[in-house]
Amino acid sequence: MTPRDARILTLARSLAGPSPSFLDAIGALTTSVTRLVPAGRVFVLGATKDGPIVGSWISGVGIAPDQEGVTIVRVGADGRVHPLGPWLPTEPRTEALHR
Amino acid sequence: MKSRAPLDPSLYEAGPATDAVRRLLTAYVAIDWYAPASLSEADAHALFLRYHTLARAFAPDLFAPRLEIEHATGGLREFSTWVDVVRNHAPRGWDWKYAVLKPLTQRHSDAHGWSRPLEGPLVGPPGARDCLFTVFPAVDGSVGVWNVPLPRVDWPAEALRFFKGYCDLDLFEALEWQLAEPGCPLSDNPFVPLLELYAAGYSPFHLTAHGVVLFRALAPLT
Repeated sequence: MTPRDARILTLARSLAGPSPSFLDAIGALTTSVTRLVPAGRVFVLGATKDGPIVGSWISGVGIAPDQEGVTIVRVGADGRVHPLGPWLPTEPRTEALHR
Repeated sequence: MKSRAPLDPSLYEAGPATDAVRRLLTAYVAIDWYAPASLSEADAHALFLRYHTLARAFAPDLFAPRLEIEHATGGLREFSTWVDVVRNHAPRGWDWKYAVLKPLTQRHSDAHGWSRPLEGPLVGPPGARDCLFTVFPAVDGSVGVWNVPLPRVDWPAEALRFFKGYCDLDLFEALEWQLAEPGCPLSDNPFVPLLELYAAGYSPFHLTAHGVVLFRALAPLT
């Protein structure tokens, strides 16, 4: 994931909250892209069995619906879909922080 | 290497911009990427100057008044080096695509009161092969998303994939220019000379506001 992707996703997460619907995540992603990039666009990059993948044409990083809600994926140039993680990155466990 | 096109440009309807949209898509999917140049360096030079002149006429503050155009040749190694230079070693604050071309499109769209459509003949379901856009209804309002299945090519060299991705964005800039201003002749669209340059086997590396290197391959890079 590029630094630009990371900035866009961070803003999108702050706009949509921790567990948005897929449609609201798309709305937040689009708002984030248009705020951070002039003439910013999002693209339909492909689809999974659960629905469309929407994201960056350049990096192939996007969001897709899944059983849990929304997941982050990357679509490769060969069309393969690589999971990158859940909408919210996994937080370190609290007890680990206090060790 | 030509990419296999999963799209049929003749299916796209874009109102008064239909002819321009179909011509842009048709020409783009026919590009033989990274082939040796089919134009002389003088003709490539003229094409880049045309892009710069058209763009500067619309947004003078975004473009340097004078432009130095240099030429370079080589194979995949040299091409990859230029990609690395423009990607990782460009002067701070200068980014041709994000600091110049995208603001150019944004200003043009704003000047014509255009935004991505949320309804009408340009909009269809995700994956539809005859609609430029799809719309998703979000809680804060519907959003328009580009829906064109432009072909991607899985070249082994990442530099080739990287560069082509940004060429693809220039196609979308050109399309949005026509959608915002359907009466604009393609010859007056500043992105069209860039697309013609790519089609002719030239790769511009715009390293500073006033300096660009036009690279051409001596043999196919793919």
